[in-house]
Amino acid sequence: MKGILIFAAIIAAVLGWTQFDRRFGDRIRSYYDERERWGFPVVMLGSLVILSLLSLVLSPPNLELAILVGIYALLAMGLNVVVGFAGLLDLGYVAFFAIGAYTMAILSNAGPLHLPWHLNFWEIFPIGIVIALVAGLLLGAPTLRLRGDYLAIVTLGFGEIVRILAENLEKVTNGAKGITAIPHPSIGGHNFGVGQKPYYLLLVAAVFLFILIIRSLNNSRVGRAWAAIREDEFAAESMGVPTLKYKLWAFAIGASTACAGGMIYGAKISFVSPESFQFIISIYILSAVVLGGLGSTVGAIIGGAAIILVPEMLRSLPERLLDARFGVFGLALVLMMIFRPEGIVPSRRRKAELKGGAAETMGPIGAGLPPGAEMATGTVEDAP
Amino acid sequence: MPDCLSHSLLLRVVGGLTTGSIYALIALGYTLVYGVLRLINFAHSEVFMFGTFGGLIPLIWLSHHGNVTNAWYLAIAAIPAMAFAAGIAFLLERLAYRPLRRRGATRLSFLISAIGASLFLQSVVLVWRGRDYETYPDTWKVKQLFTIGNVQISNHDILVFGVMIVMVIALDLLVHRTRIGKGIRAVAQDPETAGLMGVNIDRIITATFIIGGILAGVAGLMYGLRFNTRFDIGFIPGIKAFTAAVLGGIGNIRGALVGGIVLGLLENIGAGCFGDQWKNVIAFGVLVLVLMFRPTGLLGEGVSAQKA
Amino acid sequence: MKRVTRVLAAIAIVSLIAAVGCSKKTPSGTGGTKKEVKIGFIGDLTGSNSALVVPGENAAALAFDQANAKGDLKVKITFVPLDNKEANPTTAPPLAQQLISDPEVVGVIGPAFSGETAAVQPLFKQAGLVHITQSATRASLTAGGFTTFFRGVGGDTDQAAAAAKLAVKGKSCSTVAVIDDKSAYGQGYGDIAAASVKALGATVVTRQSVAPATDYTSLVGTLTDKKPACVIYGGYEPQSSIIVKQMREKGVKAIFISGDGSKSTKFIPDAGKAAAEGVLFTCPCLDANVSTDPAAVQFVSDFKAKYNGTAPDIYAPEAYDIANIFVSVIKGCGDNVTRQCVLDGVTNLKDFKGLSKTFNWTTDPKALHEVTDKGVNIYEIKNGAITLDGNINTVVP
Repeated sequence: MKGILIFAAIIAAVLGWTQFDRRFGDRIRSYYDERERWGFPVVMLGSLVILSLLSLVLSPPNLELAILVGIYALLAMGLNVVVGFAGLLDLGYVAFFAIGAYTMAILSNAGPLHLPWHLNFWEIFPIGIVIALVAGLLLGAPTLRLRGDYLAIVTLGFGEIVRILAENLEKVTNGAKGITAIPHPSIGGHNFGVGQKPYYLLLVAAVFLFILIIRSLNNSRVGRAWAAIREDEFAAESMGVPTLKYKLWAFAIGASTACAGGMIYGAKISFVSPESFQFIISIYILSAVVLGGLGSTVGAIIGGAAIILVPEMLRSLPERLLDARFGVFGLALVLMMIFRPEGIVPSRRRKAELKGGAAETMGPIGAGLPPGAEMATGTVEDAP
Repeated sequence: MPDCLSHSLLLRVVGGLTTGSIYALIALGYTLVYGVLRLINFAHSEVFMFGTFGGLIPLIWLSHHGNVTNAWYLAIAAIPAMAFAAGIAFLLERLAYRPLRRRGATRLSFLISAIGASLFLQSVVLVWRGRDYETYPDTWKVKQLFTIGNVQISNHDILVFGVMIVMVIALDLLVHRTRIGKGIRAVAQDPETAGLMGVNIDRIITATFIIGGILAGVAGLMYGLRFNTRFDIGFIPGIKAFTAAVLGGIGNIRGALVGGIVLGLLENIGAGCFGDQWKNVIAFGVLVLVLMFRPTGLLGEGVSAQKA
Repeated sequence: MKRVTRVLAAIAIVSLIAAVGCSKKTPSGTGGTKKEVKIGFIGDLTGSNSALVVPGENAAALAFDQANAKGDLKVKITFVPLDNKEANPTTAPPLAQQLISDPEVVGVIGPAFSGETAAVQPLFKQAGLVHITQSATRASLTAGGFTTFFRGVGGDTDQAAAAAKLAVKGKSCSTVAVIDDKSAYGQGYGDIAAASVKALGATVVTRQSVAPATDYTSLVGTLTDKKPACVIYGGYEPQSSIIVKQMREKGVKAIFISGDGSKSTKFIPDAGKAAAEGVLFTCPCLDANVSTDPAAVQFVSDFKAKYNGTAPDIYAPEAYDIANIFVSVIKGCGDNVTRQCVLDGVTNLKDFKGLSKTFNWTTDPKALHEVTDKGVNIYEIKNGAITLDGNINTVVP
């Protein structure tokens, strides 16, 4: 019973927010834009301080949740670059998360390969990022020429292939049994151990770091190229934008963000196995991005938080409905696309694109016709 | 010749033909919708899954009221299977895709909506029927009809393959010899002109979805007959059927047939040679390779020529 | 739309207030002055594997109800089952942490599956919170030196070896196919079974993994081709039942042996009576429904009474025993039930007689806190029902 009440409260809260945004959103955004030069650092520092202080206030179970939120926020941010900025639908995104986790596991020598070195977390981290960049490029190079739908399916295939490889390559990944006893990070002799605070702070730092990286990319030539590709790839090409190069950028950035999340995850839980990297996770991350707001980094973070926290809040629902949590996400995706494709926290640019007929539409099948227009009711043989 | 090819090849071929027939039937739905809308209907795998339940539930009901071990019951079950699947397909088009079409939404929006619809439909069946696998009551008993070499061929094998061939022929006739078929071809080839010529685009699209649904319903019946069903059984066959459609040439009806059979054969033979654990990798690998190196597929793009 | 929004906003505010209001904790122990202690439980209660976990949860709940009703405890035991959907190792740590952070929790039953157990062992060890599993059987779990972890059921090593012994010696199969489902449990079972088959002098004609599916055409094709006399399958219901069904449909007559993950009451309905006939299971478990031991019979009737006539399924007796171990240990701690006391009590357990076995723990650091009485039983489907053939050592001397 309580669960249903909470559910209703959430729905109404979202609706309330959308109304608020409709009325005041643009005004607030313009206000912020005018003051952005000093506004942005203030907001960032302020959030950083508040979030760090939270680590002292939250209880350990809540910190555990916060850590999951942090990881999903990273994942959503990364996918947002691929889907939201560059407009490429990647359905195999969980593969990069897996690559991060397994990189941490294998390179720290916890796996079946007996490597001749001993690297700690901080040394593996940059190596992992590089590996992810390469993986992103490897995945992107052959596939980014493909049309949107095909790209989606190919990436789905890649995601599954990575998972199946993790299951089958026993000698490297220990197969389905997974790799245990992955060492925890230490700073100056102080080992992170199994607690929560240090990982939480590490994640906060990682999220902020990637926010900065992504933002600076988005505000540069790269971001403008992404917008051009997203809005009309052919026009962009003909204007001389090297689309393939910038699409690869997007893939690579997305991959490294997910990888960062994976590495922290592996070091915290100390155990990785293929079970944690099913296809459905890619869908959860995609839902987070879409619900939060395609093309909005803040939206992606909020989406990531929602994906973790909402099911937690609804734990008291009857069992069968609880089972169907993913179905609610599915329904939310459909409804979002129909009524509010810009997401809960929209990026202005995207809102304009998504609402009103961007160039890459379905053509006369839908766009050209005014709503409700039916063609002449006759069939082909009645035509003149 | 490696042992896996010489020794059990015929066995693998028979297995491949029957599995491939189911892939082909589902692939026809993907290929039709794609030909007309340039849209991958991600949720088609759930339409197929609903088809399995469309056959299951009446059969269970009937079996409570008497003995159903008669092949006729299977034929009777085909009707609710097709209707149920077609109904879901219709609702899908009306509620999830049409509003986006009207709005001129981006292709990305369609894909996301399709994924969302797919998840939602799965969860509906999960809440409705639960997590247990369900089996069709015995209708037509499995009988080994004849043996070639060391391979037994059963009545079910012949049925699945035969039904697929009949459906492909029927669809081909529909698309090339009927009014609706002409409309479908027209819209697939050039929607703007078709509209100008008086073709009711909305109706054609609806018809396409319904036809795809009927085919998926038949596939569902065949699947339920041989295997168990539950809310999530659509996912893997759906992906494989999509692979088959692309392999044969998306938008091409005969391509769906060829693609389905070829994929079924590759999978079974591959599993025989490398071990069953690589079966899905083979399917995904074929998909990736085809999309990268020959996206038009084996038979080329069909019902229409592709525009950007 | 505007008005609708306003109405919805009103509903939202009201619901939120109501929800917050309802969530204020009603003081626990409203019926008496007894201090409360909690025993937690982690397992997949709503996902694909719930059929293997829920019977244990129910049995444990029954045990605690009985203990509280008996009235000879100084404290009231509250049972806290937590659902780890799909036994996902990623989502297990927050659940473990939830139990750790609640000072009233003094012990945990589970986790139920091996993957999730591996993910939480370090956390429980650091917190000094004892956890006893009723069904996580992967061999490596006891090799990590986790002094707070106890395995209340025989591990895979013995089970899979018993399967091999049964196939080669018991059923005289000189050719055996060993298949697993790529899960941590199934693969471990398969690996050990294959090694044992070879050690016993028989041939493993094929060693494969099959992803869980419903279409096993290619696997059955391989079996038709290789013609093993016996098939050993490491994996769970419903995959095993579906495989057997399709095997028999294609005329594969090999004897089918699987492990505790397959031994479920759903096996026969899923495979069909005809196909299920003759299937064998190894299980380091007790099927209380077919036991003649009076304690087991009493348990079955108590269980049915509490749960609307449902019979206790797999791992229920083991979970019941573990729950009673906790009850006994808690009783021994008297007024002062602390985590340390409970951990010590469990560690020093001697000859605890439960339904499924007599409990003593091993001390070998490479296999720490396993039960010494492994009790692998062989079950067979005869005439449409699962019957107990007996302990492996009696079935195959």
